[in-house]
Amino acid sequence: MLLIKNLSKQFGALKAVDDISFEVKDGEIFCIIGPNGAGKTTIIKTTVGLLAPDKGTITVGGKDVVLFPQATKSIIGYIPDDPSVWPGMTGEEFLHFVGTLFGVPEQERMERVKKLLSIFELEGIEKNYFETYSRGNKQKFSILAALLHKPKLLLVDEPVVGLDPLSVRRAKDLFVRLAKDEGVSIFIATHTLSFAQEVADQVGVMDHGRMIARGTVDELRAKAKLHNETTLEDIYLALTGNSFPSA
Amino acid sequence: MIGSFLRLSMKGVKGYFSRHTIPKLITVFLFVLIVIGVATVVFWGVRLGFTSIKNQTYGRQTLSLYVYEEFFLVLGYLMFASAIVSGLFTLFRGGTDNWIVASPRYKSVILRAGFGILDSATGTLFVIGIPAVLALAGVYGGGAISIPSAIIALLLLTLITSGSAMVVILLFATVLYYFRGPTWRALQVKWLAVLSGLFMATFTYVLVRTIVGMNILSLFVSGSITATEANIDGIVAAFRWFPTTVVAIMMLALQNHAWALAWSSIGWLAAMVVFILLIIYLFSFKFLKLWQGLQEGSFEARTSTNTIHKSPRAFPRFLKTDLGALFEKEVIVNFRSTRDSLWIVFILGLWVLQMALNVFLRRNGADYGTSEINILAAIQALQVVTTVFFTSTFALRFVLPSFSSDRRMSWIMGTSPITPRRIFFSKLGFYIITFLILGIGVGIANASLLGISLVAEGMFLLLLAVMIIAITAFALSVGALFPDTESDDPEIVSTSLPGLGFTFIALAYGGVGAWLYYIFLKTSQGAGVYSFIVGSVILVILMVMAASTRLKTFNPFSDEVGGA
Repeated sequence: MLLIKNLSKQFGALKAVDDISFEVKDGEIFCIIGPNGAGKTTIIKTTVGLLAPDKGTITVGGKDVVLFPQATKSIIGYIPDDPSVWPGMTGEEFLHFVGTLFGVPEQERMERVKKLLSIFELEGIEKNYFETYSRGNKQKFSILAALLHKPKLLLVDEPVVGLDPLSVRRAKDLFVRLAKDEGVSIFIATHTLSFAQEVADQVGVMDHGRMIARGTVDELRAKAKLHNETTLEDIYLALTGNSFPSA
Repeated sequence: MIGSFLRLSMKGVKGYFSRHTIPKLITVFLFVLIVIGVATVVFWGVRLGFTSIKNQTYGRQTLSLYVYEEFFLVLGYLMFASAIVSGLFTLFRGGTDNWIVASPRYKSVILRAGFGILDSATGTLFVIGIPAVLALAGVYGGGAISIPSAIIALLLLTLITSGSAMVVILLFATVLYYFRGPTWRALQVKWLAVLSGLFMATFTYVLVRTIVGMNILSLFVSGSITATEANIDGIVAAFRWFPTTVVAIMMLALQNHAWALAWSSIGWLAAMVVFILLIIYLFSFKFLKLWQGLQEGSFEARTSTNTIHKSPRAFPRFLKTDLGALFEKEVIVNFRSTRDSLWIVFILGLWVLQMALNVFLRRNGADYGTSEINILAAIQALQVVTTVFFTSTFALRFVLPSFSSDRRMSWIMGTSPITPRRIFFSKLGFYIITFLILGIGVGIANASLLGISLVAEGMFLLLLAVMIIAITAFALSVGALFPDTESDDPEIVSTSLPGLGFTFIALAYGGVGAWLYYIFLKTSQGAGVYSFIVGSVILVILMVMAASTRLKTFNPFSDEVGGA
């Protein structure tokens, strides 16, 4: 579903993404982890069309995102790390607004909004202004907005920041169900390593704009030469050359 | 604490110039040019006017005092109104102030807000007040004493207007705090804005009534039949309720070299400042509670109130397409923002004041026996200039920053399959419709107030409509093609290089239109104004086509676009 080949992106002297290639297959959850400034968000923003690639190609559903922006955007759902919405808009209006931009017919929108609100039990607050929502509730609305048009590829930047433990559980279940039951490909950039460890089919480790390792958690563990009980956190620290003395 | 604020301000200035230095230097240079230009016009206008007044025998004192009273009343009103608008959001905003409020020096927020309000008010002082004082000193002499005295008085007037605006806001916040309750009576900035808006509307109404209700001839009567000079008592009585009268009397005293009266007036002004500061100090004991209360509604404390719809209804309501959704989004963004609504009220208040001036001009012009046709032509031309000025002000504040203000929300539209062109056209449609309703509405209201028939107003309204559309299209095109990457605050975006460029061109365009229209009214020669209308229509089409073509390849929502 998502194929990235030799992608590079530079901001001034800084190489944010340096010659990266990978693929996310249909129904696969690919989590990308790495320190701040490693280039994770840049990959997502380049894929969704908020940034233009300097080099390389990105294809979504077989189409180049630069050559066919409308076609590729219409099958992508994007969940940002900062879910800013106009403060005077209600959650419900926001969902309908996004749905309309993606061409979801009114009747279908009404039904889907009602159904989606129940995922995070947002019924009852959907008519409040966005400025009144907590960080977590804003995040939940942004997750639902990305699902309204039934995307084939979901790009998620920090999915669980600000969510309460129950909502984190629901988000995990939702992503796994979307991938396994509906064949949605999901690309997630996160610092929450336990989340990545639980949901990811593939994990990519980024550092300084390069992907330094990629594979299943077991494959990465083997690459880091760690024993079976080690967590993704241990693997990450080992692969990025950081380690802390045990307590 | 004051030192910290000053150091922070200096860092802010350094930071501002650290990126896009050359465009910013050009912006500052243009700003300085504008300031010098306006100050020069004020200086020579005041100098010429008062030289003429000085040479009169009968109205030397009265005319001077009348001009001072009007001048300081309008100046004071402008400073007070702008202080109310900026004070509402500098006193109780969250964001970076959270750090100060979380510290033991939380009352410093009042100090910081005070600096912010003073900062915006002193602009008017420097651009208008000081050149006028220098011109007066040139006419009447005694500059060594009168210039510093007048500047001190103006500074005190700035402190009085800014301080009283803070007192009004703090007072309303306290009233709301004590009458707060659940649901709709919750303490919220919007209610504070509503109360302040009502207060300003009442104040504006009183001001308008004062200006319109004055009979100029009755103000300039002599005390006795043998007197060679008019008596100032009528003017003093007419303006006695406005604190600006102290400054006006002081200026007259300086003009007459009556230093004792002048300094006692300064003493009165200083006493007013001390009194206002004392009230603010007393309010500071309650400030924390007011601040805390006003964070609700825009903070995480509130979860389940503020319901606006009772039952689900369709969205978009107007047009069932993506264009309809984008259009409705503009409605929501512009009309549900307390801050934007207040700016609209503020600018409309000024517009109403100008309408009052039209009525005043018409009435008093007739009293002096000036030709009816000349007066109407001048007033209608003035009306064109005013409409262009206010449309440009609205466009500069709302339309030009429109793309930049959506920046933090760019992920919503920038990641959807909607093209930037479509977003451009939805914004264009929204702003043109809104400004046409506003501009044409005010035009018709003016016509009826002035007793001009609607048929005679046909050309006038057509000209207004075309100019409103042209200015709106121009502002949006500039805003879309040169978005601000450093700020999404409309007040900052509108003072960027594209904003200044827009201001220059829009005002020049308005001046040309008004001049051609005046020629048309005076001589009935319509070639100029017809060409102007046709030219404007062609310009609008070309501008929209250019912006539309550019937006095929240029995405203003991209994280990479640059601009000053």
